[in-house]
Amino acid sequence: MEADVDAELMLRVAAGEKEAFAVLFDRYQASVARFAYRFVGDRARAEELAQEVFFRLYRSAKRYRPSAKFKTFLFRVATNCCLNEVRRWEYQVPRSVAEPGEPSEIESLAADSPRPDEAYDGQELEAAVATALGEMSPRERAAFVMCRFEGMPYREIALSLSATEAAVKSLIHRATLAVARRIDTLEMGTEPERSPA
Amino acid sequence: MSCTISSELTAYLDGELPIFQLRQIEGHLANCGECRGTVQLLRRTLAQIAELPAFELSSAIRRAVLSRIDEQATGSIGSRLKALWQPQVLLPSLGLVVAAVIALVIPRGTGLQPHDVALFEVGANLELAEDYEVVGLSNLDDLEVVQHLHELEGSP
Repeated sequence: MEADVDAELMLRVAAGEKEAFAVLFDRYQASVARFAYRFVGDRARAEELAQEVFFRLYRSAKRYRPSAKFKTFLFRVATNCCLNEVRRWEYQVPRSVAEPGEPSEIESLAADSPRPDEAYDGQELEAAVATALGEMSPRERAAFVMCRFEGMPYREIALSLSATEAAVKSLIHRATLAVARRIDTLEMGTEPERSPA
Repeated sequence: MSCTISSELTAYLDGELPIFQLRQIEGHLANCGECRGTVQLLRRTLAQIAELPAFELSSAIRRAVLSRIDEQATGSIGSRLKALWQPQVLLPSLGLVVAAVIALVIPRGTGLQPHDVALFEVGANLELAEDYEVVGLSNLDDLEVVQHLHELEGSP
């Protein structure tokens, strides 16, 4: 029922109704912002990306067909935007140059990681998750964020990523295990080993 | 993790497995301490992730997006001026301007009234505009070619 409402709104956007777009923005801005933030790990870049996602969504409204669930369509647009951003960022700031430079928001959080004798707090948990996300491949990260932060079923994630459900299952398993190990390390105060599981 | 079934444990917790596989994993977990440990770790992780704070956009972002959309929908002044700078629009307009100028400066007593001259010029330029449209050109550089199309008529 909800999907039908979104599809209807999207068709109205395609017909030129800007009010319908504002409704869609209000319904999905939190999801898109969360996705972008978890993907790039930086608030300012996430805000820019969220704007870009909605702008692209608007421009692609005429190509939308109601046979595709709106949320799947939206996250396909969002994933493409984020992947482009990551590629552009990696091109502009190669790792060899970035490492000795100014730390990113995630790195700053991670730098405050706990000492073994301290109980970790929310900020440290946030940093541990962000570090694990940063170590994942972009597709693992996209699948993980859609699953864990948006609660999307594997089938929808597969459609958003143009992948098979089996591939998505594998991506999510590896990513979840990586995060679990990173948090476990935080609790134990030891450096984790990244294995393919 | 040595069990082959371990790669299914996340999907098991996510409720993404068919019932026969679910039963299979439950049976395995009853006998495998290592996989039970992994399930516990994953379960705890999922609970911790759920507690992470949300990230929300500021209201300024909403305004920025909607105003950008508004601009896209209505078109900027620049893009509207650019739209006017098209041969299809310029040609008839230029024809009318030329006709008006001729009508104003032409000396009296040539036998043609300014009104007739103006009509004549408009007619000639409309014909030119029609040629232009049929040929389907898209820039002003080709205007000269269209203007001399009549010279090609009759040549083999």
